[in-house]
Amino acid sequence: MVDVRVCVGSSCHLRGGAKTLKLLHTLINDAGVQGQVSLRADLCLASCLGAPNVLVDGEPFGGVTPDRAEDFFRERILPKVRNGVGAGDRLD
Amino acid sequence: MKRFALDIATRQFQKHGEDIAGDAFRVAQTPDSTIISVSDGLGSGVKANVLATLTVEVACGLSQGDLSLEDIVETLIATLPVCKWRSIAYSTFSVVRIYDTGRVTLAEYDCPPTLKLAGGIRPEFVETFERTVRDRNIRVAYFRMQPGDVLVQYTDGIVWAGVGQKLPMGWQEDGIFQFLSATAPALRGDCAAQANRLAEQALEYWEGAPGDDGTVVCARYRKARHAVLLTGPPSSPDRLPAMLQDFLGREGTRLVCGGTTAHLLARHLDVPLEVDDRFLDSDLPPGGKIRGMDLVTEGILTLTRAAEYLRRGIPPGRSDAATCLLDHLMDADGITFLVGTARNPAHQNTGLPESIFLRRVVAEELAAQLRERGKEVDLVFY
Repeated sequence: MVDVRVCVGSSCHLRGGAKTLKLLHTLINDAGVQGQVSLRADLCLASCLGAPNVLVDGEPFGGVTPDRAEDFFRERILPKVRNGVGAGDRLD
Repeated sequence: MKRFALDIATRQFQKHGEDIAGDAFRVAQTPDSTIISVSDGLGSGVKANVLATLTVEVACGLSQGDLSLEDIVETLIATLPVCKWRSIAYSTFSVVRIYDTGRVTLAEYDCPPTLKLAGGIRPEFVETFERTVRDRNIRVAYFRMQPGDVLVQYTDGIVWAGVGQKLPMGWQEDGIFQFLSATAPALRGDCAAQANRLAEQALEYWEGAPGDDGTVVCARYRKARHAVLLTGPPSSPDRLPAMLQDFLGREGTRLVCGGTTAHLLARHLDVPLEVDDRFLDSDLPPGGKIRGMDLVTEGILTLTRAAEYLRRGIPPGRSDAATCLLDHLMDADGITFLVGTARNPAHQNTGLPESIFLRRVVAEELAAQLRERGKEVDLVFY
């Protein structure tokens, strides 16, 4: 399971974090991978300068504005789903 | 913070055919007491209204100084004009001062006797004794109210309701007493409902055409409700433990406004912080859930919106994190804001004025709005 957390705190909200969250939700469903991705909102990821922030399996990404959501999904989330490796999964 | 509070409700009607009531009432606050004055001007209409208003304004104005209730009554008696024809004062009045501690002093001049609903349920006439002030007889009482007790004051238009019509002798004090015995238990100390029931019954006896102005004032003494609002990280991380201890050590509804703040608190309590999915569709950031906290919201934007709602009103049908926060704040009598003054460098170049991101400014604006609505508000900065 790939763990995705989207920040919707003050700074991220002002820069489109909530929209990014909704777009990622739609993209995940459209790709039919909702069973392999755990998508959650977070109140603050404590990196406000880079807002909007997204955490993928603990790895932070900044500047994930709504217009970048689709690219972000293809580049950072989908490959992890395809590889079948996510946080909490045992590699051995 | 005051430990006790008063809910005050009033209902008034004017004599049939008059545009305004010849009764008046005012409420005044001092740091340790609330003064309620009710007056019935002689006659009806504008002249009676002016006299009654003058009386309650003087009573409440004088109460702001260091005068005792007796001094206030003496001044009122000395200044009230007397009708040359009838040799009686142009208005009757009652002045009651209810201290934060529950102690009450009451003075009545020619007005119907005040009733107390013990526990909000059981009516009793307040026991008074007579005093002579400047050759006039006034009735005075000194007593205590317990939390849940309700004081009921009313004017002649209630006592004489239905006179010569449905009730040959009018409603009378005993009739009012019986009515309160029967209705108060179901109303459970709800002042507004009690004032309404009394006035509605009087209007029914008057058959919708009152022969006199009528006023009912109900005041319920109760324990004050407090809220404590935590917002923003402190100016220096060293101060965080003290700020959180201060927050957790206070009595009242616990409100947390800020994403970082919520994270810091959840970590301190070692409990999970979950996102509250109720308002995900609103244009405000969503709030969260922390075990034991009554509400967790985003900070700056939600607080700013709450102040805006108080200033301009809540748009009909609107329900978001700010209306939720206001529900809690408006329910409280006393509110303590614990405001962290750390500045978030990310709150720049957002296209919004920078001042709105100064948590101190936002908290002070909201506090001012709440004070205007009679709330006692303390601000503590960290």
